[in-house]
Amino acid sequence: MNSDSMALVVNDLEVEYRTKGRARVRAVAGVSLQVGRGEIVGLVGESGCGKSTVAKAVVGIERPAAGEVLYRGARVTPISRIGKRPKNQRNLQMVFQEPASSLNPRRSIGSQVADALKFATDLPQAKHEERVRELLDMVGLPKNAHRAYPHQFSGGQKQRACIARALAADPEVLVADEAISSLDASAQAQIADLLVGLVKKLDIGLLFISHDLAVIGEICDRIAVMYLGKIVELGRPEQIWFEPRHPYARALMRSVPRIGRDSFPESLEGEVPDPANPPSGCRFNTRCPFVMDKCRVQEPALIDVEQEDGGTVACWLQEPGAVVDLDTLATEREVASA
Amino acid sequence: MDNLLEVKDLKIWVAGAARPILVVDGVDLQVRAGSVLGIAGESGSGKSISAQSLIGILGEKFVYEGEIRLEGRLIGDGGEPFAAIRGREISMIFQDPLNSLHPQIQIGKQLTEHAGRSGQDSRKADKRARELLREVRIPDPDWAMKAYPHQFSGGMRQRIAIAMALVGDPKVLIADEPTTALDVTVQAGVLRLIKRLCVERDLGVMIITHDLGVMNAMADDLTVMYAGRVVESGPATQVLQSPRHPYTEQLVGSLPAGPARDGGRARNMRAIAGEPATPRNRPAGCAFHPRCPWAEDRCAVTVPPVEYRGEGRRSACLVDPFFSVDDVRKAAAR
Repeated sequence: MNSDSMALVVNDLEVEYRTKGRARVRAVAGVSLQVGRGEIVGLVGESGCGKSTVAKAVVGIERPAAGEVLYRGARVTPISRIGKRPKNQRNLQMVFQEPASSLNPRRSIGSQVADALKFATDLPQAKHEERVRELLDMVGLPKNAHRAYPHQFSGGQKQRACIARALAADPEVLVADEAISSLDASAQAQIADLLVGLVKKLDIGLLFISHDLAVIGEICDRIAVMYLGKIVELGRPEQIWFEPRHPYARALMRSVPRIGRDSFPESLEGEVPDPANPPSGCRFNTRCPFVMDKCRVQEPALIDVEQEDGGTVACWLQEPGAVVDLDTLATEREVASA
Repeated sequence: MDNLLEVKDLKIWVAGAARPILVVDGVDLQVRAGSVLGIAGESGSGKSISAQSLIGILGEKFVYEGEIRLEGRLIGDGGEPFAAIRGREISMIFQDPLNSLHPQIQIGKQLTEHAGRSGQDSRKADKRARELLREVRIPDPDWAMKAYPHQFSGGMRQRIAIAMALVGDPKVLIADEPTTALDVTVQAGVLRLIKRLCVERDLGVMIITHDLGVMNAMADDLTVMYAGRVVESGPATQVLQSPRHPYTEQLVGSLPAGPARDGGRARNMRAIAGEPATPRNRPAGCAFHPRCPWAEDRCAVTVPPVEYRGEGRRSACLVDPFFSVDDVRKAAAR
């Protein structure tokens, strides 16, 4: 895919946090990805892996220490200077985890959706009410929802309102950070359905950040797996799901408890290293069941291993044109050690 | 099989603005030794409140009615006081382990605290605390005894909370969303630990979670709740793989199952229409009827009783759409 045609391009993004008297933490240590229109890209990883920081940097809440975020071909202006943000970038929108805390409890849903119209579009005031109703209808909220207040809504309905507000800005790319994680199972499916439908209908891109592999696997067109500030594997869901090429991606998949799964979910040994002091070499080497000497010294780069499927992986086990199946390797080792 | 903990016709009211609201309506539960009972349901289903009532930690606003028996002895109202049972015969762990650990007291002190109160030998208590930390697989128990809760990761803290729950050598362990706050790779380890303790100590475990994947891994028996009532119960595998109640069927169907192997979008997540009922706005008749694809007129009028369906399964549905003749034949053959 040509990166010029991508609505959102992230190049070698680095984000650092500094705390007084402590070492700098590179929460994001060189992340590149692209989101095209009509495409859902999933970003998955455990807490502290930097996935939310990527989301924040993408919409400009965090300032990158290095690298860049391009939206509609131009660099994203940090939010501290949002007044100076060019109008064609104001519609880069984010949906957060807790719909309750991203809505003002004392203002009607309609007026909050209208805010986005005022801020990001040129739509004349007279047409705002009509457009608000249209948006609320599009996200499946009942008639008269514009007059309601957040407390009258369930969690799922509140999230629908937040999505309507994000869409009011007429975005080309939507960033959703754990947007369905705090909802009940039945509401999760509803909101996931809604997002998938909107992406196709409005031809927008969606960067969908979640720790929930099953959801990510089901709705995304491509998945990026993050570990300790870096993407370790990127590929199509079915490839990452059934033939993960990175040992961390494999461990993640095997730890998910699922209905119909006979084997007990497997835990990953060891703790996530301190991001202020990441291990040398491959960042996963301290917990990797396949670790080799080289992994402790040299950091593997993200490489294309098979040209046709567009998947990339950062692991010394994998070489272009010679993909090692990790399950087979694990079985071989078990046999050898027995 | 004998039930370790048995709850009959549990009802819980909460004080409302005008009148008390019935939040749990006639729940029956049985926990067997060496086995895991799962209680599943969405928020507002009454699953956590039901569990809290079993050790008497409901707030002042709540009133319960019903029979709670531990090894046949009546506990709570009209029986042995909860305070004599809690932490000794029935222990509980929560979603956030920090709620059960004091932030400013060393782990060792927290684990041996009760020994001092009950006049036990402190050296013995110390030794026992180390044993418990070892049992829950805390690396370096000697260091851990002197450490404070903030020095541990979330998974390790939950293990310590489990060790605390084991101090009184309980017969029943109630775990309310024990791994919901943990990362998935850590979750698996804590679940395995609970399962192991259940088998090794012959513990009766009651696990409450909204995550049916966790239930699949953990539960031997499963009870599904909706709007304060039991809709279905039975052996976990059967309930999850061939649900008998429309709500269970729809809930299982709403779960994401990941991508299809051929790359096609499987779209397993079938959303349940409508909004979940809560005890505050529980519809008349079957609480699920406004969202149920199989609902008939009578479902809006009559509350369906929980009925036995053979093979240890029960469900509360007037229509019973997943009734199969095969089931009847199998039941008759027994």
